[in-house]
Amino acid sequence: LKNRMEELRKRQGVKQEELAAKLAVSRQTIGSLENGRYNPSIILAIKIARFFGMPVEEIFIYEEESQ
Amino acid sequence: MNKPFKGTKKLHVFLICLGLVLMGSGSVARRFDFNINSRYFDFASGIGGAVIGFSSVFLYKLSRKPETVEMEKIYDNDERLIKIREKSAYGTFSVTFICLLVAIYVFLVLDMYPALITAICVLAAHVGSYFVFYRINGKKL
Repeated sequence: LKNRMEELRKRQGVKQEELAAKLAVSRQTIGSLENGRYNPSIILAIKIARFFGMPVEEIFIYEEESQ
Repeated sequence: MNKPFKGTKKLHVFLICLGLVLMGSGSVARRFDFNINSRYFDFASGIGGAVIGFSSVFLYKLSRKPETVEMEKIYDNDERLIKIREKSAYGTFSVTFICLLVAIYVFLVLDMYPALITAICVLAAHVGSYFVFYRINGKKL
């Protein structure tokens, strides 16, 4: 699962700490999400999508694993 | 700080003082060698230590700043940290399981039967509790 969180956050000029506070998660979680180390739950994905004012699938891009 | 907490704070300060007295009584009894079984004083010292520990944690929790409380709340509910805690708990379960198996083998080789039976019971409780929690959580989710 790839995501455009870092790009969107930087475009809006929001710091990781600020985004973390808005979503009620730790700053480390935002870092892990941006690096693709951690995939969010549906609830967190919807919260992120609402924060950026975009549909979930425009932020999180699911790519099927190549065989 | 609001009124109900004030009373609680006083109670825990009192409990810490009581804990100190209990701990001190054990040391004094040992020093002057009173004609009383020292086990009672050791027990009193232990209880005193536990009371001090409990009340200290409570007083610390009462004295936290609102920002710290908010941050702790976030860290408690952060889904990534919950996942990390779950994975760590599973890792700990596996390590404890292996350690208990090793202990059983050692007690068997050394013919230490009371310890062997205890270790087997602990292992059974350990594995049994895993399946109990698995079933409980399976019904919930």
